[in-house]
Amino acid sequence: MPLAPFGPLLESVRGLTWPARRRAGGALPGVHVSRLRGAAPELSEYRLYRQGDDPRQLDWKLLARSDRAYIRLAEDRAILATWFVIDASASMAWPPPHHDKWQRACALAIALASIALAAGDPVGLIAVHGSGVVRIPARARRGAVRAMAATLREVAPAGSPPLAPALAGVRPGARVVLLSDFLGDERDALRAARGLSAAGSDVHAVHIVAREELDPPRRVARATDPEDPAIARPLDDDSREGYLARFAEWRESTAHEWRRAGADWTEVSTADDPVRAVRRIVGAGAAPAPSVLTA
Amino acid sequence: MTFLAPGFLVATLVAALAAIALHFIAWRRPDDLMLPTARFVPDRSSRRSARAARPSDLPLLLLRLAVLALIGAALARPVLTPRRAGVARIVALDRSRAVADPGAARDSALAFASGADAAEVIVFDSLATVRSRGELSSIGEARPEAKGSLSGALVLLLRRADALYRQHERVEVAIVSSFAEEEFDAATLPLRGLWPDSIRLIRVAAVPPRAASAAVEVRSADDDPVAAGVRLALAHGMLERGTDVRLVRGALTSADSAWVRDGDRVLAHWPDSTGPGTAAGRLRADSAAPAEAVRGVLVGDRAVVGHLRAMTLADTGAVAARWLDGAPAARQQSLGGGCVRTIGFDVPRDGDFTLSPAFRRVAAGLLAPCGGSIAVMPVADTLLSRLAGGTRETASASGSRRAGATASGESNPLRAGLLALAMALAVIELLVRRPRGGGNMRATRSGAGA
Repeated sequence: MPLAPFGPLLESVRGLTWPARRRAGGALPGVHVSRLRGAAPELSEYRLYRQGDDPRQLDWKLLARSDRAYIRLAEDRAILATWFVIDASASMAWPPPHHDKWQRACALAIALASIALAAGDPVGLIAVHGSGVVRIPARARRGAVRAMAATLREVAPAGSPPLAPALAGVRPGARVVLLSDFLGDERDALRAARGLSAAGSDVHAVHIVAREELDPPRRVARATDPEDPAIARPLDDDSREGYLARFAEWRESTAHEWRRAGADWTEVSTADDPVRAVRRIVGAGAAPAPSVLTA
Repeated sequence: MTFLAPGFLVATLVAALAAIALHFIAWRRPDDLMLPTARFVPDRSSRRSARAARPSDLPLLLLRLAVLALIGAALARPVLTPRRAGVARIVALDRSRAVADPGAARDSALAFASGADAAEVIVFDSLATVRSRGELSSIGEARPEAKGSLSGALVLLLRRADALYRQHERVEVAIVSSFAEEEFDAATLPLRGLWPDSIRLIRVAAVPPRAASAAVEVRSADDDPVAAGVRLALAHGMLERGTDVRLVRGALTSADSAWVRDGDRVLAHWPDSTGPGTAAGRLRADSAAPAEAVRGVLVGDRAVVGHLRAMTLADTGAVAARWLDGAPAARQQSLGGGCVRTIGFDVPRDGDFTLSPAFRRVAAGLLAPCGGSIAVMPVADTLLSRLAGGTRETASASGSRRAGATASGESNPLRAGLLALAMALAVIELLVRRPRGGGNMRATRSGAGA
C-alpha cells in the first residue's frame, strides 16, 4: 500500500481546500474562479448591453423597470491542473539514515495532491533525480494520488540534476508546486519560475530544510557537500556561527527573490509538523490577488 | 641495580610526560560530516584540527613510552651490584731491605688483618705478590738486596681492593712499611689517587744507615791512574762509606776471597790491561772496534766516555755496569757476606782521564756497597699524609665511584641489552605507526604519529 505511510497525514488534511491564487484558465468546471464570465447562476455584476452581446443574457426585468438594457455577468468556476515538481537530488537524501528531507517532500506532495484532487483538480508529478526525470501526467481520476505515492517510493534521490528544464516543461497556467532544498540550479529554477508566473501559473515554492541544517551538530567535523565533495570545510564552534548567519541570510534572500518572481514561498523544516506545513502552504493561497479579466 | 647517571632517568621522565601530553593534545583531522549546506560554512583551512579529550593511539603511546624508558635506562648506565656484606681488609707488607725487622712488620700486618671477614696480604719488595692471611705465617726470609717499590704494591693493592669490594660492603686498606725514601717514585702518588678512600699507614722501623767508618783499600801500582782517580774521589767524599772496599788492580788471591767472605764487603777486581798476565789475551776479542777506542760506560745514572779498553768478562753474575751499547761492562757475584765486582774495561794510562769528575763518579758507583745505595731516610710527613689520603667519604659513595669506574672502563652488557630492546621496540613502533599514517582519520601534528 503506497499510501499507508501517509495515512495519518491524509486523514489530517481531509477537508482542506486549496483555492488558486489566480483565476483559473481552464474551461472545465471546477472550484476555482475562472477567468471566464458566463451564465452561471451566481450573479457577479451587471453591465450595459453592447452590440454583440448574447441577448439571452439580458436582464429583462431590469430592462422593464429602468428602461436600460443590462446583461447579467456571473463567475465561472474551473479546474486547475496542479503539477508537483520534486527535487530528488542527493542533497535531499539527508540526513541519513531516514532521508528526512526527501520523506518530508514526498509527504507534502502527497498531502497537497490529495487536497487538490479532492477539489477535482488533476494532479501530475515530475520527479527530477540523478538518473533522469519521472513524469506522471496530470489526471483527476481517483487513483492519481496512489500512483504518485507508488512512483515516489521507487525514486532514489541521487546526483545533482537541474530543476529548470523540468519547470520549463510545465504547461503555463497550471499550478506548480516546487519542492526542493534549492541547493542545485537555484538561479535557473528561479528564472523558469518567473516565466511560469508571468504566464499565469500559480507557483508555489516549498523550501525543504532539515533540522540538522538549521542547527548542525556541535561536534567538530569536516562538512562535505554530498553533491560536490570538493566542498569540504571544517565545522567547529567558530565556523558554526558564521555558517548559521550565512545560511539564514541565503534563505532570506532566496525567499525574497522567489516572492518577487510571483511565487509563493514556504519554508518547511523536517522538524515541523507536516499538517501545519500543509496548512501553511494551502493557506497562503487563501487570499488571492484579485485579477479581473473579462471574457 | 645502581644507575651511574640518574640524570638521564629524570630526562626520560620529562620526555615521557611530553609524549603523553602530545598524545593528549594530538591534533587530528575531524570526522567527515555530510552536510548539503556545507557551502555556507566559512571557507577556511580544510585541515583544521581539534584537540582530543583522551590520549589517542593508546597502544602506540605505550610502545613509545617503553622505548623512551629503555633508552633512558640505558643512558643512565645501569650497573648490577651484587649483594655485598662484611668488611674486607687488605694490607701491603713491606719485605724490602729497608725494613729493619721483617718479623715485626709481619706481626703488624697480621694484627691489621685480624677481625675482618676477609683479608689479603700483598707482600712486596721490588715485586708484589698476593698471599692469604694463613700464608703469612710461613712466609720466607726477606731478600736483603731487594729494593722496595710502593708503586708496584699499590697497583696490585688497588686491583685486589676492587675485587674485594664486589663482595664486601667495606674494604679497608693498610700499608705496613718503613716508607723509606727509596721506595717512592714518580708514580706512587698518582697511583694512590686512584683509591678514593683513606689508606692506613703502619710504619715500622727502617734499617739504620751504614757506619761511616768503613775503609777503602787500593792495591795497585804506584802510578796506576785508576788508583789515582779513586783516591781523588775518596778525598772528595764521593765514595759511599757504608762498607769496606778493596780495589785490586792485579790478580786476586785466596786472601782476597777470604776477606770478602768475612763481612759486608766489596772486592772490586779491576784488572790492569797493561800489567803482567793481563795483556791482549784478556782484551775483548769479539769486538770489531779496536781494543782502545772512544766508548762510554754506564753505572746506574752515571756515565763516562773516553778511550776505554774493553776486556773479557765472565757470563755469570749480575750486571753492575754496561757499555753504551748495552753489553755488560762490569759484573758482580755474591761471595759470603760480601760481593766480588769484576770491572771489564780499562782506562788509558796517559793523560788525566781518571781525574775527571765523570770517571770519579763512575768509579764511586763501581765501588758502592753490594746492594747498591740504600736511601733509608724517612720521607716527609706531608708526603705520608698525601699517601694516607685525607678524604672522608662514605663507603657507598666511594663504592659507587669505584663501580662507575669499573662500568665505564668495561663494556656493560645490561646497557647493550636495553639499547637493543629499545631498538626492537622502535622498529615495532614504526610498523605499528605506518598503517595509521596511510589512513585519513588521524594525523598527529608531531609528525611521529602520522
